[in-house]
Amino acid sequence: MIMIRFILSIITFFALSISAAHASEFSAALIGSLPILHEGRVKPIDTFARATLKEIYGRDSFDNKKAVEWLATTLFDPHAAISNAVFRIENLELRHNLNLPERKRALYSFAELSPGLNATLKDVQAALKKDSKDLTSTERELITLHKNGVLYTQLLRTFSLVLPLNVSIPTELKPFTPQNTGNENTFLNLKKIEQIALTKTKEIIARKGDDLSHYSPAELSIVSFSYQLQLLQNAAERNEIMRIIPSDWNKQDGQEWYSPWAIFQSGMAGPDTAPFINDLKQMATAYLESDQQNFDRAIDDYTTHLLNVNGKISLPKLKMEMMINQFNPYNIGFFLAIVTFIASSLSLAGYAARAPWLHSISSTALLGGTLLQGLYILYRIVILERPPVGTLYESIIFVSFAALLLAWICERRNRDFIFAFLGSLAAIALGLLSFNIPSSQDSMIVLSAVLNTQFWLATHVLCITLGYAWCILVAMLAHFMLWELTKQNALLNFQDRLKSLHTLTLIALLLTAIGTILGGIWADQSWGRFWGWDPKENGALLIVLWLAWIMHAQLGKEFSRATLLALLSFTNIIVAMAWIGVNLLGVGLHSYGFTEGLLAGLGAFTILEIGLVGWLWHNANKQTKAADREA
Amino acid sequence: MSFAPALFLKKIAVRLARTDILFWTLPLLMILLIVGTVAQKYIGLYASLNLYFASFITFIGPIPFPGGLTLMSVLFINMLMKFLLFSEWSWHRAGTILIHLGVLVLIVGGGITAATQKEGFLIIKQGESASVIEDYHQRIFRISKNGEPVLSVPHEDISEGQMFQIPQSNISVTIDQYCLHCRVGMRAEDKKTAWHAPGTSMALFDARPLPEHEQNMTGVEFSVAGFDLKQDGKYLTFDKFPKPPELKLGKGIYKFEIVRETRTLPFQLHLIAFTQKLHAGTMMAKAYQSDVNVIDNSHTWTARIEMNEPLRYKGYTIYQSSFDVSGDTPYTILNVVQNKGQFFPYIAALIMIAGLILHMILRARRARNEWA
Repeated sequence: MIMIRFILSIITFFALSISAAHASEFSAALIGSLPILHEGRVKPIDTFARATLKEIYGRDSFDNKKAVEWLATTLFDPHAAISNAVFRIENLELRHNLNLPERKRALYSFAELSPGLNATLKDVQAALKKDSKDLTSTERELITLHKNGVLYTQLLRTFSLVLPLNVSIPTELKPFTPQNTGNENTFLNLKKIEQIALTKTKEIIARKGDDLSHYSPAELSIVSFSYQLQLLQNAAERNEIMRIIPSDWNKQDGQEWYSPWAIFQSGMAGPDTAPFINDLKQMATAYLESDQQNFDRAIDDYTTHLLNVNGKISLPKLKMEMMINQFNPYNIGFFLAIVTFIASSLSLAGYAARAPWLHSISSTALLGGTLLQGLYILYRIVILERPPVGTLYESIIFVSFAALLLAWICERRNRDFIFAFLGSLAAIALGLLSFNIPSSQDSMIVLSAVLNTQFWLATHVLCITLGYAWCILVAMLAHFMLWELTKQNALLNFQDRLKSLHTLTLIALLLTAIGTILGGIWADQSWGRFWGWDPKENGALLIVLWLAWIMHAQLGKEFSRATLLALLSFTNIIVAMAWIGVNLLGVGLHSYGFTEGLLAGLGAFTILEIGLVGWLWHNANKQTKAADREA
Repeated sequence: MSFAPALFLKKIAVRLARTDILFWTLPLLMILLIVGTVAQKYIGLYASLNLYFASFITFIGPIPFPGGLTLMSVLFINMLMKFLLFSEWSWHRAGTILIHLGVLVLIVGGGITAATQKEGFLIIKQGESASVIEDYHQRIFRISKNGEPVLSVPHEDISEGQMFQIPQSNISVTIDQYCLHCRVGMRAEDKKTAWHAPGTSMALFDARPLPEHEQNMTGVEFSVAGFDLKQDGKYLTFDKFPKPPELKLGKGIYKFEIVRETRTLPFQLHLIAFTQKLHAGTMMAKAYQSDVNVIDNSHTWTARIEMNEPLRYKGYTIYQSSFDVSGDTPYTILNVVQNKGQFFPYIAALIMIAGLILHMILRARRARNEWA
């Protein structure tokens, strides 16, 4: 916290001290293609920029500009960046505490925010000592804001060693300034005379003490210069956010990447790193002069140097990731699921006779959506070099894809729009969930040690998530059939559908049972016991018991048709509890799966489902009794 | 009226095989599963396991409810009777038969595991050897004389009012209060008579188990007699108490403490090196591993214990649980599990998976024939 206070107190001064220039038609987009090590993964700066902007601003573009353009301004032109109103503060109480002016859009710049951040340091320190569940929403947002403030500060300072500084070189030191490094007063140039300045400062203090009023203008200039350089270095202490230089020259930590300041401050600067620092300097100069040609050339040079020292960097993968960032196939697949849903709904409502093209639209959109979401999952496998499901977010998009695929397979056989309708509805619901899942802003994250196993991710996890998809489709088909029972019309193909439902339930049971057993074997391999009554294990067992109970009851004809369908409809709730609900408990050995913030949504879903299924069940029973009376 | 035992037994067996037992047992099991899972948030996994899953009877609020052992036993008997008496021994039912056989094997394995599994941990400093496992859950009230245990009472054998005589002495110890999960509070002013420090100001109270098992504290308040008037009186001690009572008698110093139960492995482990690999640029562990020498009498060999790759030897499964790299020399913390039912789940899994797949194949074939 002392560091935060220190950095915040000097940032304004230094940002202003950097010579500002304004880019007009200039584009810094190419910098997005450079690699960066962030959160354990080498990714394009474009991904990093989007994730960081979303973290601070809530969106991945700013002021009609791409995230990477915003990042370039923040890195190369801190003077302009501190005036960018990028901090979104929706909480009125927090705005009041920070003494911020009210405006139509609650967006504030770092320059506006800094005094408030300084003033609330004690509050955030007190909040950090509290248990997270005791925090008020204002305290939570204050903590987040301070974290983002530190993040932003680090970004502003990232390239301060290669940016021109608005610092006057004392006349007495000018003869010692290197002559062959251009005229810029960059830190790297000035560093070369720092030792002389420091020696002279010590002499001045020894002679005249530390009272500045006793100094001559020339002496004051030297002391001030020395102090400014020291302050700049201190401010960049532990500035490691932009790890863009690979350490391949260092055999001991060949996996690590370093930020420019880390290279400099850890004493690693040398002939191996000089080309990178030089290229960064070229980029900074070109950016500030809006020199597109030189900027792009500096990036090309940087890329060449990277490839020379690190042969493992895959440019095609970086380009592919940038392309997917721009046109996310999952999102397009989600859109096609909406198209499928609308077309199949209209068809089921009886419009197919008047508009036969609805079937083509529905089936084409369903196939397109399935392929695109499958493509996105394939892309993630290629980038992450592991099976596709390792996090809650990944399980949601995988289940969405599996639901669409299953719907497409069933639809090809039945051609009655029902599975297209149900599969697309499931994909839409899951898509909305995936967009709101609280996780890292970059969804492609590295996994903790216990999950770092290709075999179990490819077997247990895929099997159980496929089981979830099957269960969801079973539940949705049961909803649909329950709705059919409420209608007076003759139930066309109802018996066939009942058979299909039985088969689907059996497959859901098969997948969840095998998945649960495989999970037990994994637990035995990892923790030395097959079963530990851990919440995640219990959740999986709950689905198996639920389906086994319904299947056995069905065989024993224990339930009426409506009750059976109602119970199968509730499989949705059971899956939601087992899949997401147990993660909210925050206990057990599956700590890597813990999630916060979904409780309200889960509760609302459960209440809604109970209400809907209860209402359908009641009407279906009423209708059945009426039919029995007529018969 | 004549009584035919065979007929009577058959009637009972037939009743026990009825599907309505399964129909009512499964929902009860599901309710217990939900309650026991949610309870883990408040009382922790271990306490919840004992309260709901490893008990014959439990309470959900004020309502008595069958515990996990009762429900699993009923389920097992019902399935066994159904399996033996009413299985349709035909090829087209082969899948179903295998599935049910697999479930039965799984429940048997679960029973054996519940009865025999012991779990503890072993802490080894890099460069050193160890073979003594400390149990995670079992606590012992131990009285030692000059460092040598003279009396050890497992926590489940301790009850209030119980009196122990220390062998070969006139010292007696009476349990005044015992709590498996204690809370430390202030002793009331009017109840300080006969107490020795810190019991004069400190008192133990029975408390609800805490979610993190490590936070739970077992304690005991006891009276001792047989030392001298100055030392006889009331004392207390509890788990991890830094200054347990020490009383002198002649040349002997008697120490009263609550300790974890220990067991000794029939072999030794020597930690050659502990390695923690982090994801580059993060503090997130990518892998951690312990390279050890297994020393069994005159035989020594090297093994690696890492995530998802435990060491299995002489019925013990030793897996990487935790570590401490805060000091100059790293420590590894290994979990040691002893489970005689270890292989049952594997056998059961194979039978069930084969059964499920066979059932699906036979069902698909039947559907195709019906279609044809």
